[in-house]
Amino acid sequence: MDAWHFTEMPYPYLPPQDSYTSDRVNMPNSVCDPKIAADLYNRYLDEHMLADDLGLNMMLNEHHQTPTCLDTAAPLAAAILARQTSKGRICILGNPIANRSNPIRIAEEMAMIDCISRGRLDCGFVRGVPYEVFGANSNPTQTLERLWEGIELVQLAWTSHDGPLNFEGRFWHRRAINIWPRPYQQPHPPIWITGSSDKANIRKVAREGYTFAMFLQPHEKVREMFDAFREASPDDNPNANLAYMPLVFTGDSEEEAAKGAEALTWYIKSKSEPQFRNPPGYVPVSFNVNALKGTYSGRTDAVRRQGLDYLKEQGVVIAGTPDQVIAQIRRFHELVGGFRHLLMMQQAGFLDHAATTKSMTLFAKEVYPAIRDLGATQSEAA
Amino acid sequence: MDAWHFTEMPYPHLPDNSTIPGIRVNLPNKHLDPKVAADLYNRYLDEHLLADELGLNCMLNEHHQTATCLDVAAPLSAAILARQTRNARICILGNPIANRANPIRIAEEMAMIDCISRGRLDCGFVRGVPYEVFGANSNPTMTLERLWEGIELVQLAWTSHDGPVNFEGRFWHKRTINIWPRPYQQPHPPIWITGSSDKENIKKTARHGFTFAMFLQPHEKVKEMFDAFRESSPDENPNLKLAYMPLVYTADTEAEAEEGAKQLSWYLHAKTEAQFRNPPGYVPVSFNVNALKGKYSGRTDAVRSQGMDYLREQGVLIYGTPDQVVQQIERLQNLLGGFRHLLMMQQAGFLSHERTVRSMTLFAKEVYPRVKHLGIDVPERKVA
Repeated sequence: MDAWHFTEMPYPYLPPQDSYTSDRVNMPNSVCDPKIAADLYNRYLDEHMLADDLGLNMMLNEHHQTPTCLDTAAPLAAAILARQTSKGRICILGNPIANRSNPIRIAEEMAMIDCISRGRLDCGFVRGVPYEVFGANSNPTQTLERLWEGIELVQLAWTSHDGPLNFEGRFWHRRAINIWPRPYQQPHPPIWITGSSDKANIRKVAREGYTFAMFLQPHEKVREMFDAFREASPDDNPNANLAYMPLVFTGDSEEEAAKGAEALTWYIKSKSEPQFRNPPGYVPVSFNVNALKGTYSGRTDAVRRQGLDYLKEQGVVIAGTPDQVIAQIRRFHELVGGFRHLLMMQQAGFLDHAATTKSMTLFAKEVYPAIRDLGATQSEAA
Repeated sequence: MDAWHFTEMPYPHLPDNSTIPGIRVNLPNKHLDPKVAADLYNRYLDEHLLADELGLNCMLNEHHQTATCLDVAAPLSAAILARQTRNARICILGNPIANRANPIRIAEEMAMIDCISRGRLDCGFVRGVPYEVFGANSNPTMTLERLWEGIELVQLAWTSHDGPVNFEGRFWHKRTINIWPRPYQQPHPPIWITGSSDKENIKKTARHGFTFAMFLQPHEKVKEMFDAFRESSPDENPNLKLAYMPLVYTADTEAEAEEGAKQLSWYLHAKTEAQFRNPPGYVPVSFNVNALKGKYSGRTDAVRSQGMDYLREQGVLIYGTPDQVVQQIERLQNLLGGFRHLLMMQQAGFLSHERTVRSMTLFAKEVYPRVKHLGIDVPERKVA
């Protein structure tokens, strides 16, 4: 099992939640004090460097127009970590390629980071969360199609070495493609894709040999999607290409762990206005029909309102003393049929530097050695 | 005078010039060894960290599809320097905004870097060099119009703090603009623009209060453009917003200086195929008419084919012992009428790490203290 440290790099100092309707999209940036933001950026990056020292990998993501995530351009943070760390792998999960205008620029940025890091980049692509369609001014329909065509174009740029060539796609026409530098890893950095409920998409991810990641979902749902991936994967050990993210807090005592876990749930409680959550065409018609019928599943208000015990039972939160964390990870691993990459949101909201680093260190020293063997072998046949 | 260290971060280990079509646009990337590239990136960044320790500032640029410049995304290296340096100002010169699709993303990247650096970013914008139109798949006409509209849009994003706003321009329509984070500096990082011969553009730069930079041009030309800037500037001291880049090499002896200077001039000999240098519409019709008439001026084959003495006389190349470098900088300041920012290409081509470090250190310790006072006095006003 590979363990990855993650924080969305939040700016948590917001007005009272009942005084505004949405964290995302339209929270004015007058709320952002740049001096505090500067301290937070440098603190979160320090925590990633600690992760590297502790033998963990590092995961980053990117969001726009939201205090839930200061990392508005993940390639910048990835470049910094590429330069400042030496052992751990660095995963951007992911470049919102369906909301960005030029996949060639993404290919160039990733190649540069891969070189600076000497081949430690894992490169994720996402279609972009629904509420960011508004700031991106992108078309909410066909995001999956743009995602896949964008990846095809990036791969072409990464793997073409004999001079300029062209790409005439449905969404992008590009001529004279000839990126400098080329990626460090051959044929290119490993590709990751996230998802939550589109099985056809998940199967496609498996067939392409990419790594598939899910976040903060109930274990039954994760099991279902991981099984879909395993069925479609041509690999001997599909579990090596599976990743899951819970919130993770490791404490000296149960009380300390409960406090830390509570602080982490800030992330699940962030608020976005309904009109931003479901732009027209972002989900298929059938999905909206189900929503109107009240059968909408997933990380919903229902999950958000539940208490810590429920979230722990579901595998969305993993928290406790080192022994308890080990037990919870083993349990979750078995429930979902095995997976290699444990992506850990170990910082969120107001969880401060001292508490974060203590949790990270306890995890690295007393939990990680006991779970490293998980996910390394073939899962049972379905 | 502020002194800035600069390298284009070249990958110089190429086959013989006669066996390749050119260095830019269509040189296949199979000629790049990623392990060598990794070493070069880290070396060039180390040299910037040294610049910071020595009391110099750091300048970066961005070029695409070329072995002359590995820094294909300047925001990445600027973010690294923002994080790793303490005192230096960091200038991206510049974001090729006329060749990029989304100025809002540039505004976000710059704001993030400004915060990480705690307000040490100088943000430059360029229209992009002609040969990069091809890789960018951008329209070679109206690049100046896109540059200015892009800057307007970025400034709007940087200075809007009350929630989402819209922008309906000629080239960009953006709605729901509400960037997080906001920039560290208020109202926003200083803006720089480069140029070489478009006086109208230079005057506009002056009126907007932006800093104007020129590179590697003969001093007469630079003086002419700097004067155009000064005439249009509303500031009491326009020289504070002027910048010039020569190649700079400082050595212990004249012989060593000449060796280093020769290696720096690799940059001037970078080969670009003719069809990439002048895409249709990139320059005005009158310019092309003059070119056909043989009047084309600027950094041309003529300049390139000159020897080092000529380049030194022209102020394109500054090299020598510390005393000689001091004297050449004083002369250049006099010839140009004074300018605050000395941007120094102190590394190019095959110039090794050892030589680069030695030159930078000699400059910082034995030249800079003697020229720091230059270029910042209020210039004499011409009698009307």
